[in-house]
Amino acid sequence: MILTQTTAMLVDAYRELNSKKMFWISLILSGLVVASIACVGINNKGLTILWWTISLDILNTSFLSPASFYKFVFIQFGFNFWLAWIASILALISTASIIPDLVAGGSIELSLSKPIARVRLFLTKYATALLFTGLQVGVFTLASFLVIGVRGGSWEWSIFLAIPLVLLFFSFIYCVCALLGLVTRSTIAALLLSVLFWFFLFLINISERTVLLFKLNAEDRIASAERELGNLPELISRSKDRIVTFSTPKEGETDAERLKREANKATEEAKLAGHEMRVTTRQQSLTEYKSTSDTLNKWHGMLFGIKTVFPKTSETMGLLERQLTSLNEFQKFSDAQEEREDDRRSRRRGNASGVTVETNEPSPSVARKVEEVLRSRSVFWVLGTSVMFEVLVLFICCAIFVRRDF
Amino acid sequence: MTTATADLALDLKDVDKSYAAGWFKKGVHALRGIDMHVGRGEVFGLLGPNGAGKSTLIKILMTVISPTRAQGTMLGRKIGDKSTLARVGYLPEHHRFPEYLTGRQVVEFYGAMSGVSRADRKRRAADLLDFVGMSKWADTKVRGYSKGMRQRVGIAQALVNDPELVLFDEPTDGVDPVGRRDIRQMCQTLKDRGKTVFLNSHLLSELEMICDRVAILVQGRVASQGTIDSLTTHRQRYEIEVASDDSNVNTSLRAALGPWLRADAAGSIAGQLPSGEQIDVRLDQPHAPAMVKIATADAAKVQPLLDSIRAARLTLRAVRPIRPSLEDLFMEAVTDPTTGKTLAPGAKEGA
Repeated sequence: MILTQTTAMLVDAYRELNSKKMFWISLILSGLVVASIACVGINNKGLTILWWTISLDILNTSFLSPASFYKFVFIQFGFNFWLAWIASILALISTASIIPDLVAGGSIELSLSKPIARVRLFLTKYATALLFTGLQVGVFTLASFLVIGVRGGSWEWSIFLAIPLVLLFFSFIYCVCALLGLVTRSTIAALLLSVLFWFFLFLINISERTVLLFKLNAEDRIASAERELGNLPELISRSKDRIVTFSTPKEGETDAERLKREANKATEEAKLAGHEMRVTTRQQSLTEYKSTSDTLNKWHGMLFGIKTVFPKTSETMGLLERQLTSLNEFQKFSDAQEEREDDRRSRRRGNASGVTVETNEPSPSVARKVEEVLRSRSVFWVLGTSVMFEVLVLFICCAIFVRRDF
Repeated sequence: MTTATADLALDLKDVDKSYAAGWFKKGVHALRGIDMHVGRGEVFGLLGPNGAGKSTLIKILMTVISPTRAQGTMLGRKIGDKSTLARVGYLPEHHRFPEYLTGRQVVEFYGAMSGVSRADRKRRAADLLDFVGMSKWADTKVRGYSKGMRQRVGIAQALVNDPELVLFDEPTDGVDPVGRRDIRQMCQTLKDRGKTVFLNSHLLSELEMICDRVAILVQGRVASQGTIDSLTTHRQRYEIEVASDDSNVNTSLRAALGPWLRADAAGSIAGQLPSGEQIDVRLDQPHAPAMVKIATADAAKVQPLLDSIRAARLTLRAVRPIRPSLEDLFMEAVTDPTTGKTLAPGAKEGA
């Protein structure tokens, strides 16, 4: 009986999705996205779109192999943009009505009057919504696998990890949508509040990353200031020695030699004053950096704690990137980009005298450190805690559904 | 299990349901210890005014609502047992079928949900759609159906698991007279096939035509239950209409019935037969002829009064045995005996 009922509900879900044009629209759009990825290519001159070539200095096969290029496009555009945003929003719109429809008056009486436990009824309905996303992602991933294989010459089986990862990512949002649908019985309310929840997760994630970037930047500056403070005593001592040397007149010193010695002494004294002043300013800066670092540490700890409790949608999607690419894979490409960026920066910072101006802008090396920190976070922290959140929400849903009188 | 219980499709004892008070709502005591018995193979009617708790009771039986307290059995199993529902059919009052399904798919889907095998539900869906007169529209989407057609498909889905007990909540709601007659015939056919039919309806005349037994629910309590005959026998009476062609008709009638009368109120006279049955006399009025009402179904007990009226040379216009209708029973149940006013609709507030 369990199999008969489950099959019936899955078939019913398929019929429902089939009747909604959104399912087919999403599938067609997914196909178009893959087709557009397939149209783009890379050669030794630059980027190709169908039979046209756009010459680019930093984006050609000297920096990036075709396989890496397609993986890059798939991750950045197909996965992080299409699947994580557009396709998920379309899926949410399509499936948001499943739970409110289940509990709608006239419909729920029919479902509950059948020999099926309430928990199983609810969870099966929930699973049918995930089936929708699974189908969409499955088709998209298979097509992308073929494109990377045929066009890039690399058969990346690990790309199929996208299916469970997107399903998990979607389920983190959808469990909240299901809870809201159950409580409010309104599709619109469930949908809008779920998008709001999603936005909240996005904000938490952006905030945590930004604070992490500034925190690492502050740590970087502390290290740099401490290094500098470590070198300054030696410079001061050397200057002092030279001042002593330049203070002692040589035997038979001519006027010209005396003038030169006194000039050198004056220069060394100025240098010494400069070093001593740098010690004072660096110590002040160090105190400031340490204070900033402490504040940022506190904020980061708080944001990290909040993030631990809630689903980590961005990191979940980031797991595929971690799996598919190494930090070194795009090294040449990112080095070239960094070089251009440094060039641009130095042009912007530079002035006529050639003196550099200190800015608070984090350096590319700090950005790389952020990436390293994000990649070092354990899969359990990313998925385990998120799944725990989902289980908790589903538990609340089941408790409400089982206890409610309809 | 006793033999008596085994013969019962429904044996309810002390079914109680209270809705707790919330922030913005008062608590409601919807059912107040319902005792009800429905025999196997009978058509049972549940009557009551709006808010009496009829649908709540049915929803409790179908596990849609959990009772505050309930004892008893449905088809021999404890109330609330999910597995029993495989042997029960149910048509909710305001059902809503998925609009994207055809009538056939609706019947097959709910058949599958009841655990009916694929082959059986295919065969039964075809048979049942024919039974409810929907074969022609079986493959049309529900969104194109009229209210009556939806109701017919609803009946078909309620029967797809070949249930022993069928609960119909307002099956004729929004259905035209032809549809109502068809639904009545379907209930009769189900009874002939040995099924127990539990009907909740406002249409008293229809229930009277097909129900073996009824229960009247008022403000969460069973006001009365039994066969229509048993409920009406002690309410049967005779009415004697006396012609008013004589100007002294009232005096003559009073004199003729003198031995049985005991009091004289304004415009009416009351009395009693030696066996205790009530006599009510309405005297002749400009637009209402004199009328004697005797609360008995026994014709022999009426004869002495008739003889006496004839002896007083009054003309008898009519002598009628009156059997109260279900509507009379219903109205009696929903009327406050002390004030004579109809009880307010709805359940009683407070736990």
